[in-house]
Order: sequence, then C-alpha cells, then structure tokens
Amino acid sequence: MEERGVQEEAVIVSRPAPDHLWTYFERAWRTAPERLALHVDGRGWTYAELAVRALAVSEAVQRHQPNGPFVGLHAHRSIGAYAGLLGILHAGKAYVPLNPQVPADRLSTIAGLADLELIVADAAREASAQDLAARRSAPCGIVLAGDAIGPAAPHRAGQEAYMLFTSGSTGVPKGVPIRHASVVAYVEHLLERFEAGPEDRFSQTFELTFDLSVHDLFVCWAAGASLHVLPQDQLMAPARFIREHGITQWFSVPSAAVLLDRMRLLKPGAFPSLRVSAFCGEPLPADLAVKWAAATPNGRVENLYGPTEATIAITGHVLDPAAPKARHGILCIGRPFPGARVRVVDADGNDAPIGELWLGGPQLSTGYWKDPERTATAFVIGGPDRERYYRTGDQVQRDADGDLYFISRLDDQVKVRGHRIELQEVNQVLKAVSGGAFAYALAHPVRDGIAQGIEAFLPLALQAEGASILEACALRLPEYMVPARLHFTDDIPFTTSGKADLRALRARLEEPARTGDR
Amino acid sequence: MSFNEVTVRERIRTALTPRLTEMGLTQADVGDGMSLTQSGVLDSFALMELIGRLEQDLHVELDFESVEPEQFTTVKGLAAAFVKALTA
Repeated sequence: MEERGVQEEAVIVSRPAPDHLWTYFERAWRTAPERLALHVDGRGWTYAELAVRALAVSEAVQRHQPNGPFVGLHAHRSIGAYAGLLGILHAGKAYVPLNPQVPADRLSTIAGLADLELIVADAAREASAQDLAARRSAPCGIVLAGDAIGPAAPHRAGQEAYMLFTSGSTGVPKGVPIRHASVVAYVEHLLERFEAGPEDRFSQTFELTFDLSVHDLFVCWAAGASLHVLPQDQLMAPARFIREHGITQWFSVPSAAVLLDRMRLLKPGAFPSLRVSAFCGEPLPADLAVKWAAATPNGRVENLYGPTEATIAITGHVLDPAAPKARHGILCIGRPFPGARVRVVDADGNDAPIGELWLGGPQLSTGYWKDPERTATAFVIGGPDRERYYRTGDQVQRDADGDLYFISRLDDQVKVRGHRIELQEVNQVLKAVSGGAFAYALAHPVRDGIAQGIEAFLPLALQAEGASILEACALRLPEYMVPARLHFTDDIPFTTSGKADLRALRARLEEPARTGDR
Repeated sequence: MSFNEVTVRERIRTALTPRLTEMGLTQADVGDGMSLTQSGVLDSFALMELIGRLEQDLHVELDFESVEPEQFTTVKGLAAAFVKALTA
C-alpha cells in the first residue's frame, strides 16, 4: 500500500465503527462539548452549540412525520445548513440538498423526484423554501434551522443518509441514495489514512450537492476536529483563508489549485499549516500537484478518485513529488481502499490491463432512485466472484504495481471544474428552450487536462436568439451546465455510424474565430 | 501614459463588452460594485483570463497576496487593485 508519510502509531483511538453518521458527531460532542466544531459565516460554533441546534431541527422534523426516507435541505454556507443536515440525520431521515444557487425549476423537479414532504431551510431561505413547497403537488412542510431549542430525542436510524442528484442523460436528474453504512466504510478508512485528530482544522469548499462535502463534514466531526467553511467569494482565492484559519486538512477540486497558481500564490512554503491536501473530482495534473507539494512543505498530497454511486472516493494515491506517477501529465488515481473491489474490464467482460473500471464493496449505492432500468444497466453482477459491481463508464489502465490511471469517459459524460455533466442533458434542455432541430454540446476549452466549460452547436436559423436561449438555459440548469458560448451552423459533420462527429466539431473550436459564432 | 481609476474602469468595461453582448446585457446592467462571478457574467477561470489580459495591456502584475478575494470580482475593486499596482 502507498502508506508513505503515514506514522506507524495510529492517532485514532480504536473504537467500533458506528452504523449511523450522527454517532460520529455525538462521540465528539460528548468527549469535548466546548471544542470548536464549525466555523461558518464569520463565527465559530462548539460541538455543544451545534448539537442543540441540530437536535432542535430533529425534533421539528419528527413532529412533521414526513413519509418516505428523504427530507430537503435548502440552505447555504450558514449555521442552518450544518445544523439542518445533522438534524435530518438525527431524525432518522436522509437529506437531499436543494442548493439555493441552482435554478428554482430544477430544485422543484428534484423535490418532486424525491417525493419530499418536508424542507429544512436556513433563515435566509425561508421565502424560497415556501415557494418550493408551494410548487409541490403533494403537501410539503417547512422547518427553519439555526435556532437552539428543544431537548434531545432518541434517534431512529434509517438506511439512507443522503440522496444526491447527478446529471442524467435523458434530461432528468438521477437520484443516488447513499446508506450510512457506505459512508461509515469510507470515513473509517479516511480517519486512519489522513491521521485525522481533534487538533485538525478541516476546509469545507464543496457544495452540499457534491458528495465530496460529506468527507469534509464527517471525517472532520468523527475526529472531533473543527470544520471551516469558505465564504462563497473566497472560494476562488483561498490562500488567505488557509493561513488565517490555520487549515491542516485541505480538500478541493484541482481547479482551486490551478487558480491559486495563476495568481502566483502557489509559492514554495506558502502554506506551512497543511498536513494533508487532497484533491478529487477531476484529473489532477502532475506538475500542479508537485507545485502544491512544494507550497505545503509539512504535508502530503493525495489524489482521490470515485463516483457518487460509490460514496465520495474509493481509490487514492499519495504523491511522491520527486517522482510523480503520471500518464500524459495526469497523476495516477492509485489503488482501491481496503474492502473495495476493483475490476478493469474489456469490451467482452474479461479482466484486462485497459478497460472500463468496475467498482464493488460496501461503498456501493443500492441503485438509482425509482429507476430500476438504469439501475440494472449500471449495477451488475459480474466477475469470477459473482459480486455486485457498479460500471463507472470510466476507461482506466492498471500498471504492473496495481496503480490505476484514468484515461477517458466511455460515454457523453464530462467533468467541468469537478461537476459531472451528461452532455445529453444539456442537449435536451437546449433543444427544448430553442425549439431547434438539434443541439450538440461539448466540453471546451480543456486546459491542463481540466475542462473549463460547455460550448454548443445549434441550427443557423436560431442565430438571432442566442442571448435568450442562454437566459432560458440559466433558468433550467445549474450555472456550470449552461453553455458559455453558442455556435450557429447547419453544417454538422457526421461519423460513419451516423452520429454527430464531436471530434470534428471540437476541431472547429480550436480554429480562430468563425462567422456565425456568438 | 497615466492611469487613474476612471480610465482603468473603462479598460475593464471594454474588455468585458464581448461577454456582455453574448449574454444580451449592456454596460448599464453591470454596476461598478457588482460581483462579476456571483452574477454569472464570468466564472472564476474567465475572470483570471480577463485579469491576465489586463496585466499584459497595462504591463503590470497584480499582487494577489494583498488583494481581498471579494475585491477583484468587481469592476471597482479590480480597478483599484490595478491603480495600486501601477502607482507602486
């Protein structure tokens, strides 16, 4: 295993793994109630202060007695967001983040898909939560999170901890429910791997709609450490935040490092407080990782990999700055975590050095919410062990040491700054709002191995309507899925199999400005 | 050539024009104190590219160490940061 830099003597006191995420928080709270648990929106909250606010939410949720396993969470970088999330879990429900930055139409769709009968909101989102509830076809209540009231009530553990919606190729988001047991399998390994302890200070960069946020919250609270939420306007330049908060455990998409580097802030020795810096969500360029390592002389750099369906991350690699293991400049994604099963499978379903990555083990989701068809396609029984595997659609290569390298996607899914996007979903929305006969979206430009945005091709007749098409997209899609640029042409190249030739379209984008663009 | 905040703001606004036209917006829609990233005019990468172009045009490098992150997302804050760098 790649345990370079990991001390022999484990810092974590040996204790049984819980069956519920709340237990991680409760243990830290009971051990050190006055310790800092969270820093958000300009102030700190101790474990005790956060606990009474979470329990108030739990009590209110239980009073409402919503049917079904899921409760909405409509809150953003506030005490209400974190107390709300914990309170929902304590009440035995699973949370579905309804990010206020996402257009109301999409949130309304998600609320319908998840059959939400209750939405927990922070004080600032009361009005938009009311709107969301009013748009539900079934009755839907509201609970405000953030105030400290109510006694502790015993919690009943549901199977699921949360459900996240990812981009779906048919134009409708896919719900991925994740069980407490899956997160616990992840957290138990990460506590040990990252040697997390009460003195640690964790960053919180990820939106709650992105499952990497679950690492921030529960690896942190399981260790009894404090969580430091970056204000929205500091996400693109976190240098000062890291220093002022003395962050010891950093976790973000590689894009954050790219931006710091462009600002000339990734200087040797810049961040001495960092012990562990982890990156996930998109390919990590090896030279960038080496620069980050030089900027964090007292820490190490970890590259993690994993899809939402397999809970947060499931493989990892510790960077050796003197000799980075990379392929075409992109750092390897390492080996599976203990307990995870990995197969590299060729087109005939046989194990091979290059092929599709299949994942198995306790971190696997039970399947897509209310979608047995897509569940049956993506979650299969296979391999000599006849175990359940999730087919990632990621093409990988495995080297002689057993280390994995990401090569490409096998379908139309792309990553833009860590966000997973089905280009088909963008195409469906473009066609619906424009009335055009076709729409072809692709990720462009790609710099340092990282896609920066979406551009799309539409029929020439729509040229005059570009601005209104983009405006209509912005009402239906999250910001990162809205094309940055539209190109209008009736000259679409096709492959011999009759599909639009995206490679040829991409080549056109590399050419200097063409007429018909806007 | 001498620069002050007014002339630098004009430079920034000129550099933004193609993007605004693309979005169906006009100069009047973008206030000097409005966050370019949170309003969706630019994402963080596009903002860094804009800053890079301005740095080349004005033959100066911003000191990001001393600029508040929330400052360089507005026309006003960005202009102030450039004037500070130009007069340093």
